[in-house]
Amino acid sequence: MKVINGGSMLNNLKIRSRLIAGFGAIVFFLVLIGALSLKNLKAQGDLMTEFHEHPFTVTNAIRSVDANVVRMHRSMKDVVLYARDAEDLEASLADIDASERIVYRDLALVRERFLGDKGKIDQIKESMDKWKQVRARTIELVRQGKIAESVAFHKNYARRIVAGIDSQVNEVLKFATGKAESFVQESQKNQRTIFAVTAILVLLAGALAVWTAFAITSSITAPLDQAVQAAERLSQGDVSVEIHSDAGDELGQLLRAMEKMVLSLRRMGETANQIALGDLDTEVVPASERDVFGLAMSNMVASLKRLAASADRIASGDLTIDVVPASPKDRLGNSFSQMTRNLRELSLEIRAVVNVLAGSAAEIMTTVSQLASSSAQTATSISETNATVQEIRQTTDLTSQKSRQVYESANRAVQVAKEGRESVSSAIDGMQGIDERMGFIAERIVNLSEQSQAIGEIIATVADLAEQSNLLAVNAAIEAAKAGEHGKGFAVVAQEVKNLATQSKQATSQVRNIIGQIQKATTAAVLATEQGSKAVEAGVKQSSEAGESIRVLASSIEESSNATLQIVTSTQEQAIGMDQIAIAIHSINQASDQNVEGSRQIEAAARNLYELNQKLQALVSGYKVA
Amino acid sequence: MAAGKIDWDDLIKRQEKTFAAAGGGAIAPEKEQAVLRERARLLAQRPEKYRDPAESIDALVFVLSGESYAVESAYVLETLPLGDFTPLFCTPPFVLGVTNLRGRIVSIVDLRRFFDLPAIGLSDLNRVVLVSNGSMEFGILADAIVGMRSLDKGSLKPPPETFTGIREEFVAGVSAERLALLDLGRIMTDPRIVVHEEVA
Repeated sequence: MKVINGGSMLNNLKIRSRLIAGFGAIVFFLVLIGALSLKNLKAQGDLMTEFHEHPFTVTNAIRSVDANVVRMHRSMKDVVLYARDAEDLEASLADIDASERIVYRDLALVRERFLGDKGKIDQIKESMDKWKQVRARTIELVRQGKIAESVAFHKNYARRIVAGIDSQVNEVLKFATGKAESFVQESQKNQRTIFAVTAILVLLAGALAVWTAFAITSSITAPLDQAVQAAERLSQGDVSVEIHSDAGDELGQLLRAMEKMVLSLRRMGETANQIALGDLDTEVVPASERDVFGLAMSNMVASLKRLAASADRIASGDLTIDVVPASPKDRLGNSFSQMTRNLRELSLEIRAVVNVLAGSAAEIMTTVSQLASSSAQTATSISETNATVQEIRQTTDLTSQKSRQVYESANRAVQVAKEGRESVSSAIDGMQGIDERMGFIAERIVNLSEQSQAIGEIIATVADLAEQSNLLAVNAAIEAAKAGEHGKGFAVVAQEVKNLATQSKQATSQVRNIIGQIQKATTAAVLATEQGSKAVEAGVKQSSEAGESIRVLASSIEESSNATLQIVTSTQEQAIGMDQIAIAIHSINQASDQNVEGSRQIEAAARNLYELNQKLQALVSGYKVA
Repeated sequence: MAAGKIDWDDLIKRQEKTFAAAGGGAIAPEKEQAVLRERARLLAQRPEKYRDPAESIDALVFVLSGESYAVESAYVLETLPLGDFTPLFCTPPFVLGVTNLRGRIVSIVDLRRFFDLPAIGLSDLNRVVLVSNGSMEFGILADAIVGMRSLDKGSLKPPPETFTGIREEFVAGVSAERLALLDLGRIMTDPRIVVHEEVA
C-alpha cells in the first residue's frame, strides 16, 4: 500500500542527534552575531580613542598656542607701553614667561601628535625662537630705558613675527579640523557597514531556525502518522497493511518492528485460514517460546489432528476408541467422546433390534399362514351372518309396530298428567282457604281469652269487696259486743254477713281457677290452630311439589313419546339399513376371497423381510464395538 | 285431623247448652233451695250452752305469725285494712309507722317485733286492729282477722313454758284451742311500748 520512504539524510540521524544539530546551528549563528557585534564595538572604541588623541588634542593644543602667543604679544605691548613702572614690568615679564612655557609645551605635544607635515610645527617653533630674541632685545631696551627704541623695535619685528606665527598656526588648525572631519566620516561609514552585516546575519539565523524546526517536526510526525494509521487498521484486524522504512532512526525501527508483526500476523491468519478449510498438514512454528498465539495454534492443530485420527478410525468402523477431551471445557472433545459412546450404544442397540427383527419376521411368516386359514373360516361365518341379518329384519318390523303403540299410550299419559296438574292447583286453592279460616278461628279464640281476662279483673274486684265485707262484719260484731245484751241479735246478723263474705271469697277463687283453665284451654286452642295453619302450609307446599312432579312427569312422558316416534322412524331406517347390510355382506364375501390372495402375497413379502434382516445383521457385525 | 272426624253437631249442642246456662243468669232452682236450706239449718242451731255474761269475755281473735291471739273487745275500736303508712325515724323497730285514719294520725305497732317473733313480711292481707284504753290509741298489725269469740274465763289457763321472754308478761291466759289472750291493759301501760326519744 503506502510505502513510507525516509530516504533523506535527516531521517537517517537519530532524533537526539537531529535535535542537537538543529539547535547547534542556531546557537552557532547567534555566537557569530555576538562576536561580530563585540568586534565592531571594539573598533568603534579604538576609533574614538584615536580621534581623541590626535585631531582633538592637536586642535586644542594649537588653539592654546595661538591664545598664549596673542597673550604674550599683548603683554609685550604692556611692557613697552608701561615700562616705567618696574613692578608692572616684572609682573608682565612673569606672565610672558609663563605663557612662553605653555606655548613650548603645547608645541611639543602638537609635534608629537600631529599627523600632518611636522615641518610646519618646526617652522612655528623657529618663529617663536625669533620672537624670543625680539622679546629679549625689546626688554633689554626697556630696561635701559630706551622706550622709544623699544617701541619701534617691537613695532618692526614683533608684529611681523606674531602675524607669521598666527598664519602658521591657522594652517595647522585647518589641517587638524580637516583630519577630524575625515575621522567622523570614516566612523559613520564603519557603522553603516556593521549594521548591514548584522542585519543580514540575524535574518539568516531566523530563517535557519524556522527551517530546522519544520524539518525536525515533519521528520518525526510523518512516520508516527504512518505508524498510527497502520496500528488503527491492525486493531480492526486488517493485516493487509504494508509497512516499509529504510530510516535508521527509532521511528524506522518502530516501523520495521510493526512490519515484522504484520508479517507474523498475516502468516498466522493464513495458517488459521488453512486450518479452517480443514488442511491440517500445515506446520505451525511459534516465533519464540513466549509466542502464546503461535503455541495455541500449534496446540490447536495437534488437537485437531488427534480428533481427525479418531474420526478416521470411527469412519473405518472401529468404535472401540475412547476420545479423551483436552480439558473439561473441550466442547469438540466432549462431543466426540459423547458421539463415540452414543455410536457404540447405537450399534449395540441396532444389533439387538436386528435380532428382534429376525424373530419378528419369523413370527410374521407364521401369522400370515394362520391368516390364510382364518380367511377361509371368515367366508363361512359371513354366510351365517347373512341368515342372521334376515331374522333381524323381521324383528325390526315387529319393533316398529310395538313402538307405535307405545307412542299412542304416551300421548294419553300426557293428557292425564295435565288433568292431574289442574286438580293439584285447585287443592292448593282449597288449602289456602283453610289457612284463612284457621286464622279467623285463632283470632276469635284470642278474643274469648281477652274477655275471660276481663272477667278475671271483675272477679278480683268482687274478691276485694268480699274481703271488705268480712272486715265490716267483724267491726259490726265488735259494735254488737259493745252494745252488750242489746246487741246480741245484731251480732248474729254480723256473723251471717261474715259467712256470706267468706262464701263470696271462696266463689271468687273458684271462678279464678275456672278462668285459669279457660285461659290454658284457649292457649292450647290457639297453638292447635297454629299447628293446623302450619300443616296447611306444608300441605300447600307438598301439593305444589306434587304439581311440579306431575309437570316433570308430563314432560318426561312427552319426551319419551317423541323418543318413541324417533324409534318408529329409526326402525324403518333400520330395516332399510338391514337390506344394505345384506348387500354389504355379499361384498365382504368377495373381499374375503381377495384377502386369501393378499395373505399369500404378504407371505412372500415376509420372506423378503427375513432376507433383508440377514443382510442387516451382516452390516452391523462390521462395526467393532468391544 | 289426626283424631279422626270431629262431631260438629255434638259440639254445637254442648255450646248451646252452656250458653243457655249462662244466659239464664239465675242459679238453678234446686241449687238455690239447697243453699237456703243449709243457711236455715245453721241459724236454727242453738248455742251449746248459755253463758253467763259475767263469766265470759268477748274477744277479737287474729292471727300473728301463724299463731292465734285474742284481745278483749272492750279495747277494740275497729278493724281496718292496712293502707298507706309512713315509716318514722328515731323509733324502735316495732313501730312500723303512722297512718291516716279518717283524719286521725294513728301509730301502728308490729307485735311480732315487740314479742321477738319471726317476721313473715307484709302483704295486702295484713290487717290493723285499732285498740284504745281511753287515753292511748294505736293499731296492732295482724296477718288476718278471724272474728269475734266469746271466751269462758274459767277455761283460760296460764301460758305454757314455750311462751318465753317479753311475751310471757303480756299473755293473760291461753284457751283450750291454744288461743293466747293478750293483756292489752298491761301492754298499754308498759313503759317499753311508749316511745320517747330525743335526738340531739
